[in-house]
Amino acid sequence: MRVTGLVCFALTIVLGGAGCAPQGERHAAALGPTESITNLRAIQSRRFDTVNTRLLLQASIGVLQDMGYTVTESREEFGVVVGSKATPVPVRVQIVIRRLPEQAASIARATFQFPMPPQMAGFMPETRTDVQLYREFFEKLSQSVFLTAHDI
Amino acid sequence: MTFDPFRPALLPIMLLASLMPMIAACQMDSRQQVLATSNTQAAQRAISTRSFDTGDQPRVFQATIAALQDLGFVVDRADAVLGTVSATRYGGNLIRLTVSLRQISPRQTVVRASGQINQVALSDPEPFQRFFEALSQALYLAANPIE
Repeated sequence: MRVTGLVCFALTIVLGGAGCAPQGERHAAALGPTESITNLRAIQSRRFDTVNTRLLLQASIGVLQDMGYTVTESREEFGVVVGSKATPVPVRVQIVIRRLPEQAASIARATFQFPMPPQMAGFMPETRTDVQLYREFFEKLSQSVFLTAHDI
Repeated sequence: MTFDPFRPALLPIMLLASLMPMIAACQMDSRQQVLATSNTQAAQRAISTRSFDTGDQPRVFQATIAALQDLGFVVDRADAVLGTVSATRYGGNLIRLTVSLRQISPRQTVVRASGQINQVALSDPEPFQRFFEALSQALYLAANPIE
């Protein structure tokens, strides 16, 4: 009887502990990396051999327009453009352009998000991390850079 | 022993297996939705872009806002530095437009419109034509197609 009681007590501690990490740890995890940071950065970034960041920002606005997004924010001083699109699952994207120090090149980094959960059980707002999405996006952005540079 | 897919122990597995293709399809569809373009990028630009014979970007910017207002839109945000205006019109349909403008030479400014009607991208030439007519009137300048 005593042994059973001890086992129950130990189980309660173990199970309770697993479900309830210390608050400090949980709060630290809230700002921790969601994916391997370098891997995600590589997926979301492309290098462009130009220092004309204005052209890249205008091409970013252009590709958002190509894909039917509404531009919700554009700030040249911070190199940022944000757009959103009302599809059955609303989506938004942020593009940040920055010059690479001491190189004749710039980096475009994009992040796609589904900020609003659709009416689907178990679906959470999320950041898209799939490689193919970003690959196709950067193909469109490259095309937009070409078209914008040729005043189209 | 015969295989009974409705055996209680197998039910969760069968259910999961039947959901897998649907989950895969959702993933594919959402990517298409995220990156969808109704025409090719160049073709869509041709119907939604006009050039105006003026290098006065602030003037084109103001005229864009005036034209949008004439068409019943309310401006959500405007950025004169990069030259973008986003506006919404409520009514029978919810229409969101983004107009971007760029000075491409000392005497030429290019204006491009894009948008959504409800949840569908505007891909027909007619709404763009109407917008550019309104802008043309506000600017007292002809809207030239881009080459």
